[in-house]
Amino acid sequence: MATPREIKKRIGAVKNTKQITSTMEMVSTAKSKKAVDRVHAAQPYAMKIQELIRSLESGGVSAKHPLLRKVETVKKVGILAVAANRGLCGGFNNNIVKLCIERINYWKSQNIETEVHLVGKKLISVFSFQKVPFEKGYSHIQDSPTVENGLEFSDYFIRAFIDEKLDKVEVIHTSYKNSSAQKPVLESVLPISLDNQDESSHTHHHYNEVEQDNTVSNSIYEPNAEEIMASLLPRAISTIFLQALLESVAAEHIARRIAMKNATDAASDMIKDLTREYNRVRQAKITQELSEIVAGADAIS
Amino acid sequence: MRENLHITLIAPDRKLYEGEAITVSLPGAKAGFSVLTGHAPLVSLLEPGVVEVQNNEGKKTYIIDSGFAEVKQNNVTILVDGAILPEEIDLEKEQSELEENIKLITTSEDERSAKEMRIQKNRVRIRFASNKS
Repeated sequence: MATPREIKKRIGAVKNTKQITSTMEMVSTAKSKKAVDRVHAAQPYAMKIQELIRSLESGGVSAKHPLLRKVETVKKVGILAVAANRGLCGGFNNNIVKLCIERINYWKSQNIETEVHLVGKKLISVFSFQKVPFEKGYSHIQDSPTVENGLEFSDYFIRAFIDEKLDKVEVIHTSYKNSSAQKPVLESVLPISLDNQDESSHTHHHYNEVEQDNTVSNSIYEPNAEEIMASLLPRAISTIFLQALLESVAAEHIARRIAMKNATDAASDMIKDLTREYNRVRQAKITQELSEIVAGADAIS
Repeated sequence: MRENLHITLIAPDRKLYEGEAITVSLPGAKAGFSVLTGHAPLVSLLEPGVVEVQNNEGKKTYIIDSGFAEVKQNNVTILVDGAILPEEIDLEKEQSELEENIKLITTSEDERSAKEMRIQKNRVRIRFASNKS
């Protein structure tokens, strides 16, 4: 049986932990709000780029750009997996690891090589520990991914795709749909498929198409449609990467908030149990002492 | 009188301006141009330069990096790689960046054009800031 002093010490320790987790919960709440705002702020640009590309496409702009090269046989696939630099966020990092390894094995079963790039210290350490080979790891992306971060990846993968080093590029990240639904997703970035759209922009797109039909054919293109297409495409790619990074950060903070909330709740329960235990032990000791005194007094008289 | 123009100016990470305007002038790839209501449908590449939005309250100026503009039924959507307000320009920073970029210019064809783009961006900002002061 633990002594009251030992139990008291444990209560103190759990209280300290609780204080830390509840502070982390608050920090994550604040950070997740900011991250979510950033995700929303980046959406109009991505949507408009897609819309412009589609309107050019439906206007019959010939697809001669090297980014639109037809891929007949896939020999090598590039995978970019995005997770967090820090842990303490539940299954957030693990889900990405699982999906990523699943994907690597899938391509392996098709006899297709993969080139894996990892974003986030946690991913890098898991992969190194499990001795899964990867091409490159990045741990410099902070809480607010910038446009340059998106460009960095898109520049690399676009180059590799045009040089035919990679025939397909996929991004694995945690998607942010709303504050209660985040799940790991696999997105195909290259080759560009113009009809592969998520539902939110789909309705938007249809509405615009009706409008387009009478305007797009007689639009003026400065300097010309092909050049506009050529500079639109890389930007569309980089927005996909930027979006993936932003969503991942938002989802990370939400995951951490939930994990910390659970930890705080668990600590509260533990304090309650320990306090009860402490009182019981204390009372038992008092009772024992009393009966000893009474027994002693009885013996004397 | 016809309705006003509706302008949306967006960068990859934020929306800079959304609202009504009388006219907007843009740095087109071939030459600068202005848009008034009833402009023909147009899609144009934009070079680093100055975007001026004239609305009822006055004139708003943005210094943009390259981008696109789409004009469709009095809706003008301006997509830019990045943009800053005139008061945000840090002349010293731009100047040192410009020197840095000139030094870094490489012989490889693609990287060269990317660097040249950056140099152009720095120059536009410097020119704008020094004209004002």
